[in-house]
Amino acid sequence: MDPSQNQPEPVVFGVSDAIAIINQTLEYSYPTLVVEGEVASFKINQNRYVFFDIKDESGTLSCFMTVYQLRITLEDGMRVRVVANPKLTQWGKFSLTVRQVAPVGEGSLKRAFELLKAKLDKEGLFAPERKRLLPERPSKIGVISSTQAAGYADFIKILNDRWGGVEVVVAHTLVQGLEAPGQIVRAIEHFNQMAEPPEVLAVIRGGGSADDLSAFNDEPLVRAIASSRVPVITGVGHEVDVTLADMAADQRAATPSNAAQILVPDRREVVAHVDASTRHMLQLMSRYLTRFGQDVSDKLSTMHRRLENKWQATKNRYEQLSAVLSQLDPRSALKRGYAIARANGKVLRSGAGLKPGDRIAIEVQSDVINAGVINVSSKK
Amino acid sequence: MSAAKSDLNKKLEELDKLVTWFEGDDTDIEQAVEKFETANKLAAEIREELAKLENKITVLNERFDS
Repeated sequence: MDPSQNQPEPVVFGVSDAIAIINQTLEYSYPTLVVEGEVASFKINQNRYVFFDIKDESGTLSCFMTVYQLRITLEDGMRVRVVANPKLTQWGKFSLTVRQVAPVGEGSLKRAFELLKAKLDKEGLFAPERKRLLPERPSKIGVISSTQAAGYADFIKILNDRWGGVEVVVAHTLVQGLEAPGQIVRAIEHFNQMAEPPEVLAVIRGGGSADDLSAFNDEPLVRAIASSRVPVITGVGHEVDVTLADMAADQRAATPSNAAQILVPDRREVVAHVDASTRHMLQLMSRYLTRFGQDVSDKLSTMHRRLENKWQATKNRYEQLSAVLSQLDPRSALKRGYAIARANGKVLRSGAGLKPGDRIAIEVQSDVINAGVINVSSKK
Repeated sequence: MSAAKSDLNKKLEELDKLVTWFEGDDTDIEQAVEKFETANKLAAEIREELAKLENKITVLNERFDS
């Protein structure tokens, strides 16, 4: 018996079907393939398609992705980790369709950071004139952080300790790993689109390794921070960690706790300020009252002086008039030795009308002398 | 919205304005007395509010996965 008669007939595929079934198998076996290696032959075509190889000592794989998926700046020699779908193209070429790519290792992280920093700096994203002032005492703060993170707990603790009455709205996102930047970007957009957006956004994450913090060196995230209508403060990592997100933010806090310190005043300081204000006003008030008292006293003495002057002037005038009057009094003339002659009760100013034998009365200071006219002779 | 906080902000601003007025040259005594009384009242209210105010923290239900 021919043993071949027992074997099933081999399935014959067309080329396209063969490609499809290979892709199906690949997709089933490796829905997601994470590969680490060194970038080679990196290029961007038509500003839309990204091609590069990823290699190690003995192997090379082709990679393909769109510019929109590329969140960092790549260059040859950089060590990266790609998250991809393996795929056989219709031309029979095997390649990885990359969904995400991130630098790996200190050297690559630093290089990717420097490349993107230079690019964004050239665009002016970090320019000091772009920075906006944060509100002095915000009523509503948007927080983007992982609510399970220690940095978030520190931020909230300091915020509650320092100040009250703030509406704090929290968007819970991942703060490390490949998914983190996209989530943070969507949270920033969410806050910006609110009917009543917060007055300030705080992007918060505690300390971590350079790899952990690399989420904050993601290009779309840095751009989202720079273009947020709501001002942004970042409190990411420790004081020594400076990310591109920090550089694009309106203000960078050294740590999550520091972000809370910058955002809200300390109620103890405000009470001290209020106390100082009232003390200051009390001093000014007492100075006012002293000045007011002085004014009143000045006015009274002016009035007194004026009255006195007036009294003196009246007195002087009276005395002058009295002197004049006393001179006019006929009695003062009699005192000096003059006499008044009267005939029939009338004062004589001339001898006309008098004849010898007429009787006249002569008044001197102390007596009235009745006399008879002997003759009248004119002085002329 | 945090009406209480806005109220506190307003009070703090009002108090600062009063201090500025007192630092000015206007020395109308009646106004000064009136403003001084207002300032003292405001300061007392601010102290009281600051001692009791708490932040209101809300975590959004939205998920931000792609």
